[in-house]
Amino acid sequence: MRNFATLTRMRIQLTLRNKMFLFFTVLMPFAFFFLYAGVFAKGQPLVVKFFLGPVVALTVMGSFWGLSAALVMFREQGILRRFHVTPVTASDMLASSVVANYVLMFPTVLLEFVFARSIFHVTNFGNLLATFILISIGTVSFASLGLVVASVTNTMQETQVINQLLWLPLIFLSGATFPLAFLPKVVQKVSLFLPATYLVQGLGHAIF
Amino acid sequence: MGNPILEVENLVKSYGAVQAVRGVSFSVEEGEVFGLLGPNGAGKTSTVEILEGLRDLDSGRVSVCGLDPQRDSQALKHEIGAALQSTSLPDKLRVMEALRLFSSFYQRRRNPEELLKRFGLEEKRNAFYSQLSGGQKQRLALAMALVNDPRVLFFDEPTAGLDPQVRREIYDIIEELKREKKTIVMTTHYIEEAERLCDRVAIVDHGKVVALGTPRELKTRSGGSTRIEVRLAKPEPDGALRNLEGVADAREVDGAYVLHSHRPPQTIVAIVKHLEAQGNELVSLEIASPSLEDVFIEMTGRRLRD
Repeated sequence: MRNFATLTRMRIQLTLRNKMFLFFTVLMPFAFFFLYAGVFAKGQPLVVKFFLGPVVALTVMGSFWGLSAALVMFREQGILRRFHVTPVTASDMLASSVVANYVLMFPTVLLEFVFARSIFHVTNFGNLLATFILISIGTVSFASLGLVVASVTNTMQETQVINQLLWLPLIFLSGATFPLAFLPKVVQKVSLFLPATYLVQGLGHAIF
Repeated sequence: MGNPILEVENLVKSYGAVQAVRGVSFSVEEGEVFGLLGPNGAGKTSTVEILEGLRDLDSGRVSVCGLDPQRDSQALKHEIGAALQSTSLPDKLRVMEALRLFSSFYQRRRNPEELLKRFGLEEKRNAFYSQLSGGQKQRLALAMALVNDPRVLFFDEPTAGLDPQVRREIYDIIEELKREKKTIVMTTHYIEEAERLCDRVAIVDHGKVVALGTPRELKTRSGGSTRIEVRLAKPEPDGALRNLEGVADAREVDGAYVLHSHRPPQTIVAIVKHLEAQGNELVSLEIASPSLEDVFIEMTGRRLRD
């Protein structure tokens, strides 16, 4: 348990020192946020609030990118092997990945809510408890997806290809970018199989 | 023998159709520096990784500190320290953080500050791992192997890829550990390293131990004779050089002829006379006292190269 806590702290520290991570986890979600809130919603509080669900969902889903990339890099560079000769267990390593990811993602989501309120004057964020639960379940689920990607790919290149293949349908076919109602019936059927769809809908309902 | 802290019996390990380790046996005494010397792909790393509990064995028996690396791997990890081959740390981890992090995993620990000082990394304490030179990275790797004050240390190719000066630095460190009576199992493909550092050496080739003993024993085994290496203008027929005066054995290695002689002056005169009679010419001639390299050549018929 202590090893798990130490590793989690290390992972958070390392991630904060990594420029690529800061881009994907912090900068990109805010870019989405301002694109949706400022451009699509033209800053109207009610519309901003409507878009907040998809934006938070995108932030949460992004978790699996950094997580799978970091773990595959750890493996490729023999870093995992070094930990493997210490008493650290594989579950310490995996659990710390998921928890570190959660801790890092949360402030970003929180800031999205703060900006929505302070810049775009959104009041009343719906059911905050439901939102919190959905964000938590979503982050852990998508982090786990990252672990799956990391375990089935051997090189960084493979990881990035698989991540792209997963990411595009997740964002385009789940209602996170285009409302599902605008999409053809076939695509709507496909969307039922995507975990992202339920996260987007759930967050949409909880917030709006 | 006294009380072995590490025992390997008939160890076998295959990767698919490739047999990497084919029945290796040896034991290591407490306080001993034991070397596995052999070319790349000889099975040294596989053997060491099985001892560390990183890989499962196919058959045979190994025991480290009285523990079975497969069954008691968790307990074993507290007792051993390792500097692995082809490993690294996260780029953005600082030197001191790495030492603190790794020592936090153990109940028995050494003071990271003291290790930092001892391995000459004080100035680099806040440097990122990615900013270290090859030698500094290796010194850190050795320091990290010591964080839990282990009973057995494993150094897998501790100086591979380092330049000669840095290599000597690492030798000094290992010699100091040797004076402290640390038990060390190391692999290497450098003859010099094995001769200088190891109390006993197992020469490994194609997954088998082909010779085992102290460097001195091994060298005496190679005939205790002087080594004469000649290059000739034209090849000599097999065995022609073996019949010359004082020659114990002769063999062709990479286009040169390596002879061992009990009476070097007579042998040299005999070589020159023989070549004259054959209309052949001497291109070069080197004389050396026998080294572990000769033992290796004798056992395998090949040279040990980087």
